[in-house]
Amino acid sequence: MKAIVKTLRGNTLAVLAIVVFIFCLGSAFSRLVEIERAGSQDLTESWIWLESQAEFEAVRFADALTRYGTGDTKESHDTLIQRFNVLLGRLALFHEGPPRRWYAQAGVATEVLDGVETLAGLSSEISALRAGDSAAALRIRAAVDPLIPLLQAAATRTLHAERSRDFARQDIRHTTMIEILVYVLGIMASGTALLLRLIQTLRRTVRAERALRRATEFSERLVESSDEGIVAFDRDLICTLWNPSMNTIFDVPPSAALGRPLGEVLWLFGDANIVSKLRGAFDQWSPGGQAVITHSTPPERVIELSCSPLRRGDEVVGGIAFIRDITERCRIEEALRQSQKMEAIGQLTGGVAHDFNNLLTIILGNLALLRGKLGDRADLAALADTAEQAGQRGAALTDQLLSFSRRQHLRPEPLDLCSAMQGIDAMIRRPLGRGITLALDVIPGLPRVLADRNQLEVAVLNLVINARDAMPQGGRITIAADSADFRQTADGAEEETVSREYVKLTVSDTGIGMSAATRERIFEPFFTTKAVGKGTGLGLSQVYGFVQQSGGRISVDSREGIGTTVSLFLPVVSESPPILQGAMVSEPVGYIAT
Amino acid sequence: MVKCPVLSSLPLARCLLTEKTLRIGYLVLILAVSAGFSLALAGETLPSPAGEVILTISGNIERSNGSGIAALDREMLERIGKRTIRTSTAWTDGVKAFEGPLMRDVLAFVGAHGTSVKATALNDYVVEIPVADFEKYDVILALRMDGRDLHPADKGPIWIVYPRDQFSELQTPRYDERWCWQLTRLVVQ
Repeated sequence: MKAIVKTLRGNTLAVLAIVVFIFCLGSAFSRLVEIERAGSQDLTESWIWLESQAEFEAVRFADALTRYGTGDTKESHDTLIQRFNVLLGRLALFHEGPPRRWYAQAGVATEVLDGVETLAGLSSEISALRAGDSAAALRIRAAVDPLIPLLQAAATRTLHAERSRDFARQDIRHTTMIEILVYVLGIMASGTALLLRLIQTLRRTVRAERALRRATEFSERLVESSDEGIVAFDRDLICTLWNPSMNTIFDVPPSAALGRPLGEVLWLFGDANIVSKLRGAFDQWSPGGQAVITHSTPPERVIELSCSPLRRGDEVVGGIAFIRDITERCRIEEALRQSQKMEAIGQLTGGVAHDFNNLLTIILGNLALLRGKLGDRADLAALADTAEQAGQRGAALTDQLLSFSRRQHLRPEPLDLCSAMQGIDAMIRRPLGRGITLALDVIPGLPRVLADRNQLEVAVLNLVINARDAMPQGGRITIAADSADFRQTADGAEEETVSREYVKLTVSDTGIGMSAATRERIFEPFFTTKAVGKGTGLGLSQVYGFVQQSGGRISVDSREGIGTTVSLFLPVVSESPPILQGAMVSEPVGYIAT
Repeated sequence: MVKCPVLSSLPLARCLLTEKTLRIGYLVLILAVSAGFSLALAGETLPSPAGEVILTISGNIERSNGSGIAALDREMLERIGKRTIRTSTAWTDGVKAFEGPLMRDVLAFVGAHGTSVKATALNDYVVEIPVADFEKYDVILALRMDGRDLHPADKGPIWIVYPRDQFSELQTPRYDERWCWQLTRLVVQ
């Protein structure tokens, strides 16, 4: 009821139009009914006819009476009686029924009625009238004759009354017709107003619906296309929204999540932490946080949640959480940390090696001077030689350290890996013990790579020695080279975006392999798994430093008990050779000649 | 074959008549009877009126009592039948009881064939009435009103009366003008 009143108040024009419409329709209809009634009441014409007919029949009777009285033989007594009866029958109509009522109302001559009475009293006299009895005929005529002008006057009066009634009726009809016309115009105007109003309302409704649909579609599209997983839930943690990204992260389709408690849905993922974090959405301060989710198939994924309450007015009716898969980000952060650690160690070892190199330069220089002074003292010269050899070994060590710290001075040149490997074939075979075979599988015709020949040879030698040491029971070492697109072949997690061509040089063995923990640290200087005195822990550091400095990449694939493959990706010579990182060192430090 | 029960019940006839002669005779008999009947109908004349003639019926009628005109007196009309209608009229006060024969019976009495009847009154009033009216409504030729004979000086001797009160469609000027009083002549068309 209140709503109706409110609507009416807002639509004064429409209400007015409705009222006008109904009023006009009702009035027009009632006017039409009035006209119809007035038309059907029209009976006066019959009265005029009745009076005229009565007058005519009176005249005929009077005429017949006269002729009969004068003895006219053409006039029979029967005809006279008939004319009398006809006249009486006619005049009887003035006496009763609707005609009498009308005459009484119209004030028509009581004389007529009196005359009729007199005439009726003459019937026996007329029956007895004989032909030629003119005196009796005249007597009867004296009763009939006054009736004739009376009837005529009555007819004339009725005619005039009818005329004036007609005029009045016409006037009324005219005004009524005009009134009806006005009502019709009113009906048309108010009807048009109502129709326009209706169209307007319909249009507005359609437009509002369309806008609402667009808005809904837009927000749906936002939720659907978001990269972040979006999940909404009520206070009982029943899931009310689960977008496609949630499906990607958790591998749970919306149909399996919607309408179910999130505790059940996320139970499989092991971490009850997630649910408690989601519950935190109901609090004002809910920072969300990170969680690790375990799928039935590895790897684990790291997610980050941020939750916020859903409010209706001041009341918290549920929560919404945005979930990001940050596995990749974590991996990159880890790689960055590793790289920073290596950088720091490189700086440290580089500095130490540099200072140590300076010391060795002094020692070796003085030893050379000393030997010159020894002359023919062969026993002392032998001691000096020994000291000098030790100094040389020390210099070689610092060389390797500098190589790792990328401070070594490189002389890159275009190299054909095939001929380079063949050139060092004899050298690398020398340290191999029994039971170890080495296969050189380098295809001729590969693109040339840009690298320092010396360092490359040292790196391959280091890798071969490591391979040998990994195979105490003997085995097989394979050195292979092939062209490769780095992006395709390297670990998929690398962030390298520039597509460059590389040649991949792999050294693989069938040895004991490495544990994951070992693998993480192999490039660290001085890290070694070999017995004390057997290794310096600088071999792989040299390889790492060399490859980095050459603008290449290195990857290690190792399985315990099966073997290890180390792949060096060396850049192919291009029109404009890549800028070598080593050459970018702002302060080139000294190096020692070996 | 259809057997004539009358003939076959007579032993003598059965002896005299063979199957064939019986058939021929039967045919002849039927022809004779039907011819005689139609002759009798065509030529049948109505009895002459004994009293004063108050109604003449002419036009398309089968039976008459002289030169194609059926002249009827009060007694003849009364003998055709009597039906009472109680109704108000457009010319009288209150409900009146009218008595007289049904119009359709009178028309059947004279063997009338037609679609309309032209009624003429003593005062030369003429009105044409469809015959269908008499089938649809029990219209009478009223001879008496409220137990008294209708007189020529007051709508008599015959007044055509419709059962006006029973049917609302009869309460209109269209039907009122068919109430011919002082009726004296009917012409079947």
